[in-house]
Amino acid sequence: MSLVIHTTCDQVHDQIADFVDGELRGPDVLRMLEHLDTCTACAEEVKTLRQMGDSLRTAAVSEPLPRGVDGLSSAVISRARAEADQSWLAFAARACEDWHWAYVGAGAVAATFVSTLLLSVILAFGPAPARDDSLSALITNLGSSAGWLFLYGTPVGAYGAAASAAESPVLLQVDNGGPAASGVMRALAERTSDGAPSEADLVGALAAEIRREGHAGTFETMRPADRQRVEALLEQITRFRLNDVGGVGTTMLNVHEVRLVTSTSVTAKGL
Amino acid sequence: MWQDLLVKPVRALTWSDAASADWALVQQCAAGDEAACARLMSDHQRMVYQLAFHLLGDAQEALDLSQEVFLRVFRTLPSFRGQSTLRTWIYRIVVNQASNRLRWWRRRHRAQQVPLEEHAAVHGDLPDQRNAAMPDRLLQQREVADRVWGALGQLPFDQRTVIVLREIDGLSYEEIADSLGVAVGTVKSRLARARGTLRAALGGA
Repeated sequence: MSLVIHTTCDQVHDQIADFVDGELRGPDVLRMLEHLDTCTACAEEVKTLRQMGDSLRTAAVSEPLPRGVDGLSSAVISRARAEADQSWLAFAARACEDWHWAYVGAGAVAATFVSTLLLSVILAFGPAPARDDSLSALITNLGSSAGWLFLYGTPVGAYGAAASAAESPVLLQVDNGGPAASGVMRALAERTSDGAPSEADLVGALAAEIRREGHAGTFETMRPADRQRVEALLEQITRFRLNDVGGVGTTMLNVHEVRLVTSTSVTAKGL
Repeated sequence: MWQDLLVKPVRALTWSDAASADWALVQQCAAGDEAACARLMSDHQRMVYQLAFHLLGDAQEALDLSQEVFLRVFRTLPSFRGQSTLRTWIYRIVVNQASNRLRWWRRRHRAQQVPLEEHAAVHGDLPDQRNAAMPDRLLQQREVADRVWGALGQLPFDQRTVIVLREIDGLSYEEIADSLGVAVGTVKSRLARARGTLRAALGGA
């Protein structure tokens, strides 16, 4: 006894192409075969599809292969080899063949390393720059006192009375805190017999300072240290003279004006 | 007595054997083995040329395309991971290259194209010298083939590709889907449309 299941065209229509293409599986194939036994329209559809496939295959077979097909492999391999020879990888491989690029690279790296090391040693242990226009000299200059403070005033009496017309106005330089002042005064004091330098000593020291190299120097041509010594001497001479004129050290001043004179000199190389 | 015979078990050849043979060949080619490359080409060159010819319809173009395909195969072989078979992977490259070439060709030559009717009106129909000396049977076969190629040439590229891969190259739906990078359902619908158009064009061929 066999079980026959009748199927309609609608049920199998969508599967006809799958059947022709061999994509139907197991029970679906059996069902299709049973249907094709009884349905001429669907059988005709299957036949048409198969004929169309046969036509395509026949047309394909009838086309002769050109000669070039069999020689394709040598042409392609030659081109592939030429491309490979021009690739970066091949270039690198050629460069490493005799190691000359490797030597060049290693030499460059070593030279860079040695140069860097040498520069570091020089910077760390080398002598400090002593030039006036060097960076360290500039920093020293900027770190020195801000300038010179001048008072322009008229001495008054010991008891604060109004200034007499006879007394002349004086210009007084206030201590600018220059580091050379105390050193110069100590040196002068040691040279004098009574332990304190006189105005004459100061003037002599000043003359010696500004004529040190056989001609009169100016502030502009002096080195900062010499200039500082000269300024200290001038300041001290001014103090002596003020004491002589009006006893500024013990009296009071009517201050008319206060001036701060400041300057920073930077000498550029080559100027 | 049969018990004394030495029986050597022989394992049947399976798809995985073929895949591993392909894989070994791919590895050798990727390592720059020219003999392996030549073997890979000789195994696939006819397949590649014929597919290119059926998609482009021109022997010289198909030959050029085959060269390009194999160059591309060798360039991209290191990226082949074996997710598909080597054959379907190569098919995919052929289809992509053919599609690119047709697109390029259409852009470049669209302005120079002359409709066939216009050409025939000016120059008259060309005599087919090739068919003059053929026996009747071959002549009839040739005529059918020409009609088939003419109908095939009228199909859109995606439909032509599936019908060629199915009917001429004999790929399964799954292999076609794999080669084209589309779903099996898309393959079936394209195939149905292509068959409908071909049937109308060929009639009783």
